[in-house]
Amino acid sequence: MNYFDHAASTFLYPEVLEELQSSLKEDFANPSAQHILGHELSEKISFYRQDFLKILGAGKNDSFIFTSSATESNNTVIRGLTFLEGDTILYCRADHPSVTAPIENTGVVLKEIILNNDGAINLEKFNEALDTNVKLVVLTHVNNQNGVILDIPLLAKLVKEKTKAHVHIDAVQSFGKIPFKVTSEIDSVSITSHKIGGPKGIAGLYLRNAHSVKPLLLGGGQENGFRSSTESFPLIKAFYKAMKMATSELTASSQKVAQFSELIKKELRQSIPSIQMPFLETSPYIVSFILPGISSDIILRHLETRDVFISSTSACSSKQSGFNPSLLAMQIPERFHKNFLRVSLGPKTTEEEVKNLLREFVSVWQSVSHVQRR
Amino acid sequence: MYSNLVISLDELWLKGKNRKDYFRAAVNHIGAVFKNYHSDKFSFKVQSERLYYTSTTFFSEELIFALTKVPGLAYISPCKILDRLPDENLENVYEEILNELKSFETNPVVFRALVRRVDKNFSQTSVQVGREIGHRVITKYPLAKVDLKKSEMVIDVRILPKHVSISTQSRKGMGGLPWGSSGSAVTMLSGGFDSPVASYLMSKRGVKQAFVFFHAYPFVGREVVAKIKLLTTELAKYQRQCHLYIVPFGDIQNLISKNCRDEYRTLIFRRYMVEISNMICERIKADALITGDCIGQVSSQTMANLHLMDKASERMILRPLVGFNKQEILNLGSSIGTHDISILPHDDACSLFAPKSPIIKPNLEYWNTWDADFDISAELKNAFDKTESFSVNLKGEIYKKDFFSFDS
Repeated sequence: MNYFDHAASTFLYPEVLEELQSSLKEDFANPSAQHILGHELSEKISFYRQDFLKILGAGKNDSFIFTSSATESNNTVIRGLTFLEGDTILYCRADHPSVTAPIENTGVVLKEIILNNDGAINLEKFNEALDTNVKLVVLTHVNNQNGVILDIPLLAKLVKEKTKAHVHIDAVQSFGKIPFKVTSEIDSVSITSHKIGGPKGIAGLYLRNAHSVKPLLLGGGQENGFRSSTESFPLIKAFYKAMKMATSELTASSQKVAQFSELIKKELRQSIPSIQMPFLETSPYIVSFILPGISSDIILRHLETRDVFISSTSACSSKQSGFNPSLLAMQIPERFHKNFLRVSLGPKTTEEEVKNLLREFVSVWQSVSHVQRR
Repeated sequence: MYSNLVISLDELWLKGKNRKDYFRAAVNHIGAVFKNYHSDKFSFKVQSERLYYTSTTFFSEELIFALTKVPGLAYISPCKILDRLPDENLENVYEEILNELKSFETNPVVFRALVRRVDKNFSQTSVQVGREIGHRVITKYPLAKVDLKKSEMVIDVRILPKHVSISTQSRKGMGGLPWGSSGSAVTMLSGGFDSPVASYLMSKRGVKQAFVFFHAYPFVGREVVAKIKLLTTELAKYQRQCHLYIVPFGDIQNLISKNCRDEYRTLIFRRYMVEISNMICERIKADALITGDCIGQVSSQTMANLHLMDKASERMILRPLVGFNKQEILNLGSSIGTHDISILPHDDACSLFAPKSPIIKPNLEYWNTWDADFDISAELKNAFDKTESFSVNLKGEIYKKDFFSFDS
């Protein structure tokens, strides 16, 4: 199998699977229980929590909460903040729906972060948008569709210079893949397990000041009252293991993957002259492009018949047809929205897989390019 | 709630010597519906060509609704059966009727009473009894009106030798001929509005059907198959049982579109769909094809182009919609519940490959020789062999069959 949809989800590290299996069997107790079994699990969770804070470069007294998904993490911040009349939120419509949908549902006055043609933030307009009414700014470190990396420390600093806004970072596509550290201007960060070789159903939320947001879930008071729900110890343990593995090989992996993504860009440009690759400064793990004239789903399905798997848009929004607001925010004209493709790599991607991808991609393109969309 | 159902058959009076066969086909189909929708014991008897079903428990609304989709039935009448009182006393009948018509208290319903004496020894005439019923109903429910010609509902009363049956909730069946009494056919579904309606009309005429869909994967996605299954679920309710075949057709469409003149694409696709459908007919011993063609609706449905399809088909092509207007088709689709499925969006291979100006008057020489240079028969056979097969029960539940088989 030649899997190039790691940005949607990736397979478990075999070591993670092993830990998960044994933990599901052995660590059955409720971590909140008063007896020794619960106590031991709870101790371990505290240890993992501290290590996550350390990896993120955060302070010991900051908070790290285990959630069920990055969608929950993003929602927790956006829906948990208190907004008053006159407040505004600054966000980017190119971001993942788990950011844009809750923001657009708050009822707060919204301001958009405008992107340039290459996917980078238009700094002039960004600066203009910052005023004291802005109470929340959400920034995505690596965009899930075009892979563009934002200069988070710089942007967060700009925000704090002019406002007192809460700065929330969606680091789902960067955590464990490219270097990311929390700076003093960042208030919260979402990360997730299943993009870095851990299981689905577990994610994390960093909060500088846990009291700044109201919890979404009330109940037994787990996670220091911040997220009631019986802690899933096995999932937390597996997430921790995946995080350790991903971060330990982060530099080596990203160097290797960068070579692959450069090769993919170069070869595709050569073989398919009409291909468009407008995005600069992207994560080595994501290569996205526009193939004018042919519906991206047709390419995707032809490739799957040849055991090659890529993505047309974010897996969450593939069901939409035609117009895509996040692509429009990336300055991609509507006529190309059905022509957008994403190839995403993982730390275990091999050279052979990359060669298979390139060979099959070019072959598919040649065999179906007579089917032009009208 | 009723534990008696009376079912009458449609068009039976048109039949002569084969009357028995029609009767049996309908009874078998009704029996299958009962088995699927009524878990308790029931018995039935035939009396003057009407079927009387009785159970110890009530028949559900679901069962009655399913019966309205059984071809060949004229009426499905849930009824109460009362014992006859001595001396031709019908007081218990009148009382029960007034009891059943409680909704008349607030609704201005126009009704009539239809009384029949099966027991010819009963001395009062039907008209006398009918009048008495009408009188009592109007007296108790002043909003109600009698009109023998324009009634909205009928109070059906039958005086039997020992009982009286009363039915005020009679449902119209779909009519026509019993399932399987008019041969069998393969219905070509497209996902649009027309073919499901065509299937329904042929179900009404008793045609046993299998459904075929040509799936242009990987040019189109899997959503369309889900949609075809939804349509099949609705259409299967008019069949006693049926099959659905999904034929992989993307490679063939790609091959054709690369090798033929643009303007002939659609026509040539259709020709090979017809050919594969004939192969399926051959395998399952079906007599005809059914399509949703309508004369002049789109360019592939000109008289000349439809004629070419007839030539490409070994079997008769039934086109029940040939003279329908689009709005008539849409209305019928709404009434049988397929319209709202047909409107679901899906990728359409035909529009993907559609020529800019499709041919309207095809050149026969080209039509007959376009494939002289290469052999498409191997591709057709391959598609036929890779066809996915599903069986569908009369509830519309679809089951995948592991092997390519057309038996029931």
